[in-house]
Amino acid sequence: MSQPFRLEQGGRVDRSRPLHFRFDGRPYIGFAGDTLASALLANGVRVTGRSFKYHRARGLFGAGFEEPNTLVQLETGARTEANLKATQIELYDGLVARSVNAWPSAKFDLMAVFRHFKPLMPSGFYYKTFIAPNWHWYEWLIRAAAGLGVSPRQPDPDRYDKQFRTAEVLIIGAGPAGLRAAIEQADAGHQVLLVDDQPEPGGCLLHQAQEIDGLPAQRWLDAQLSRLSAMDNVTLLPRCTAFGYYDHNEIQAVQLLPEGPVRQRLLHIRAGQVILATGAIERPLVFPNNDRPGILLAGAARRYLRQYGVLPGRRLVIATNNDSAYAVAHELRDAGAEVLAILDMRATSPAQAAAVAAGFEVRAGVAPTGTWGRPVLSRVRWHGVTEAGQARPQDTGEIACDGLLVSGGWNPTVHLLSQSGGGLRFDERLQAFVPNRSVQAECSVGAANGDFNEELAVAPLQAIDVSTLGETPNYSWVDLASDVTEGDIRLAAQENFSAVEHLKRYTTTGMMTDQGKTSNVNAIGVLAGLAGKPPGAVGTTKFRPPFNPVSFGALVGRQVGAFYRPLRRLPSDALQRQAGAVMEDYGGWARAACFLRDGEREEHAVVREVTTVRNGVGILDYSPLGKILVHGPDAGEFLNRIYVNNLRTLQVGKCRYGLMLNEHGIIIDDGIATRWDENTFQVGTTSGQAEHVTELLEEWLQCEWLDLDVIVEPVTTQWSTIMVAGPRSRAVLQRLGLDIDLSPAAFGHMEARQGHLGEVPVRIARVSFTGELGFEISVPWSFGASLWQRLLALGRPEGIIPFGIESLMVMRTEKGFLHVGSDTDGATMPQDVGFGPIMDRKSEDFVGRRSTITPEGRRSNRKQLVGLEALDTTVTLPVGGHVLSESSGPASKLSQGWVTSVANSPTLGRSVALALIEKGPQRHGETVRVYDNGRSVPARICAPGFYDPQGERLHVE
Amino acid sequence: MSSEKPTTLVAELEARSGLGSVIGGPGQLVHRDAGLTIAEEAGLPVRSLRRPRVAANETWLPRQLRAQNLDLAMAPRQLAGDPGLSCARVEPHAWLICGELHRDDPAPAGWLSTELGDRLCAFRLSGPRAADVLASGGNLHGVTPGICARMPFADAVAVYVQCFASDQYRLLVDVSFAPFMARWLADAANNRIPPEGRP
Repeated sequence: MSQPFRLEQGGRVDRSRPLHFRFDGRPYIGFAGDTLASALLANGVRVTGRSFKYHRARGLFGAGFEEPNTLVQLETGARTEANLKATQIELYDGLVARSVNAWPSAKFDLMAVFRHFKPLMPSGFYYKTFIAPNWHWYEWLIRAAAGLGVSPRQPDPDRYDKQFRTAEVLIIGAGPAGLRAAIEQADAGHQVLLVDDQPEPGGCLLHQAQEIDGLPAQRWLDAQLSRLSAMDNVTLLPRCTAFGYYDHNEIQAVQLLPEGPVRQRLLHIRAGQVILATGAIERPLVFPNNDRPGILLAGAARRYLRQYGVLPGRRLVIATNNDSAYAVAHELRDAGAEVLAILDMRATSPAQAAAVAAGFEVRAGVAPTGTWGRPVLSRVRWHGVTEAGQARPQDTGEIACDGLLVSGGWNPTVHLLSQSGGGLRFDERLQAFVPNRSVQAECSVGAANGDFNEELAVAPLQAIDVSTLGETPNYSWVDLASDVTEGDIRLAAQENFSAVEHLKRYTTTGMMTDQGKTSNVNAIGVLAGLAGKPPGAVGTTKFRPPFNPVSFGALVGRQVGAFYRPLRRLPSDALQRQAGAVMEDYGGWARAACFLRDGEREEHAVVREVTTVRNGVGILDYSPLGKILVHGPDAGEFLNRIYVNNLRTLQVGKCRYGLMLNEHGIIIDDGIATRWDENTFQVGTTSGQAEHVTELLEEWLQCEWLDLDVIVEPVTTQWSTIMVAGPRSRAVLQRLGLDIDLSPAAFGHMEARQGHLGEVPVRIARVSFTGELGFEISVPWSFGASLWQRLLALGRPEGIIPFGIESLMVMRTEKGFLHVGSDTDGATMPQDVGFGPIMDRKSEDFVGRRSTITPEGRRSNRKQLVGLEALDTTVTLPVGGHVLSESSGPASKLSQGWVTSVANSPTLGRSVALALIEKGPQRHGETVRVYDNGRSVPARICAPGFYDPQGERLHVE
Repeated sequence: MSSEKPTTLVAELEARSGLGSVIGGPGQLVHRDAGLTIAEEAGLPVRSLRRPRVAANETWLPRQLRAQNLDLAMAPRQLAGDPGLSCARVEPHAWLICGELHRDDPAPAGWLSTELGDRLCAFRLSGPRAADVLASGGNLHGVTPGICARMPFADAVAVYVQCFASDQYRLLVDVSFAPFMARWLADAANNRIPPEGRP
């Protein structure tokens, strides 16, 4: 028979819409409105998962986000998603799921052999074992066996999104308390955002029959929804689970979107006031073998019955320590189930008398003490218990059944409150932790605040003590998700992990996908009993986000593919690509490494480009170079304090190289500074550093030197800059038609001019990073592409080519020019790169100066910049290779420095390098070994300038 | 080396926006549907005005703006004017003027007036879905009509968002990110979330 546990009527499912699905390879049918869990239960699938460590058979235990057992791998291929709770998956036609942590299926799991090793795997066993000979011997095996679901191997084809939004009042939970709060707040004129994890609002009203305000639950719900729907200041987000509560009242939530192109979206909600109406979670009872399939929470059974029209079994036993389970007994019996007995740990209760009067067999002062089945529950054993929860050996019996519903009281869902920093207190009446203190603009209402509609009359929080029966608590499960037993908690306490946070980490209780929703308070109860303290004195762990698992897709949103790390584009980007540019990421910019011609390899292209620039002319889009305007009467003084070099004396129209340090004296940036007028400088930064340097300049101005009258304005991308380099560069520029005299006499090296090209403003600096005659010409960004085309066209008679960054790096290495970040590291000071004399000549203070003259700064064996040339001209020196002395003995194995930059120089016909080496400048001419990956290359230390050391080529006419 | 006779070219260079549109022509239409239009404002004049910390000529900017029938934005993040010509106070001593000034008096001594029209690429978002699309990239908290805010956007870039009306926004982004931003906005506009409802 299809769906043997489905009732003919009742529930909120649509029986006219059957849905086909597969679980663990077998086909089943459910109905629209089902969850995967309710459909499995309706089909009589009892074994739905395997436990985390011991692979014990497990079945459905809860009905919502509290479910610890039934984790599934949903779908296959690229859309597969791991470790979802079956209780949270809305059923759809064609759904495919399989249980995780089991092979080949949950019902028949070969890995169940692990349960025989349970005595060898108590809590914390991994801290005591796998030590000898060392952890790595076992690591591969443990990693292979560990883990639950699997991640997809293909990219996720679905779309995800994010949304930032605000709310005057955010209400989390659309149960009775949430709906009441929404009406109150909306009536008061507030904009209300109501989020709820379920497809439809109502919370417990969807599966409870209680009366509210004198109305049946469903009628009360309909009335509230009718009122709310007439209010235009209330927005409801269904299928939206708030999972994180952060500072400044920011709530993060995930909304599932079954319709439309987006599968899920992550919401960042900044709320003026948060109302937590998150309800309560039922607590299990702790007794031996309380994890068998067929045992589930009484409240969950009620939900399966009333919301989905599914019976949790035909012959049921109910075990409770409070009054809430009695209503469940009545409803199940009304639906046709046989309630064989109600086992109540309490000696008396008004609910007991009413149940007896209604014809139930109520056994007062007894508790379940064991279960049997293969593996699904078939028999429950009970014992009489004392007020302290101890089993009385003589007072016992057994009941054959196919379902055991348990209720150990209710815990307010305080996870979000705890994340917000709020405090909790233990409520003796409820035997649960309830909100006590708010630190953000939030409040808890309804069951989340411990306000239940009915008196629960809960018995004290305790596990059922079976030591009087000569049994151990090693199979009394406290945490079903993490496979932690009462025995594990006892062991942890015995080993002095008795603080609740230590206990959590030692035993792993409260971890896993359910984050201890059904286990935490019971664990605290057990610990309290062992310590002889009230549970309130033991305290709780701090709840952490996420409240419920969140998919990586939702967290990432659209930040994938081209949107993952967008590269900045040059004005000539498209033109460069057309010209064969090999584009790469240089400091967040898409820049050409080199330009390939037909059939050319990159290394050949670099040789061609370097040779052409050295002998003719080439252009490079140099726009990313940072440009910052520094303006004001104190601009010179300000920059003089920032840079190692003296910039106050820089004349108008001149350029000067500048080195910037942090307060520790470490080189952090460099660039060319230009003085445009008495009060205005433009400072250059390395590519990708402009924002950082601007922030640094503002920080000094705003926090330290408020007396200086200086304004800073970043203009990097206002201007497009093209480097024109090579002995024929002047000839090309002279054809542009500028109103600037470019002749050597009128425009010297390290000078800058402003002018026009037609009506387009132009700035030119005669500077060089290649070692050749060079100009950097800047026009407004929008003219950059046009200028690029124009220069290539005008330079055709000179054989002009575009060249890339790799070629530039070869040329600057040949020249021995410093590249901050490559030739410096987090310890390099100016004196290490030849700036000692410049610092000595400067009388004024500057940022970082004091740190350069500390004992560390004056240490004689500092690593300093030198050149290195391979003795064998056919060998390439390895970048990053360590420099070792040629001498033998132990000292020969000590690194004396390393290679920072390498170039296979087409100009010099050999490999040249720059390196940071101890006492480098004093060792010119010395032969060393460069060691890399087991290979040593002999090399000679020399001055860093390999090419045109006198700089004559900068001045060619 | 070629012996071709060198030529001199003095013709004007052609100006193109960060999206490749001709400056002076219509900008690129990034997206259009019934609820949303996203269009590039190619060549929007943008000027940064920075006042010296030691106040000088405090009356110059108000006078300059009044001449354009534009109020001086004085409150933090205030945006005065309309999409045609606006003034936003973006830092304690800095304003951003977007649009063509009818009369452009030179800034007095101490002030720094800098053209930033090339540096910032402008996108206009109009329609009832404009706020939703923007809210998928950044937190619009407090960005109400008459407000300009600088914020991180799309997990990647810093932008200015100007709000002229609840369905009229301008997004200013560094020109080097313009192609990325155009693609990102078009993609966001296609992420249609089913309408949110009342309970």
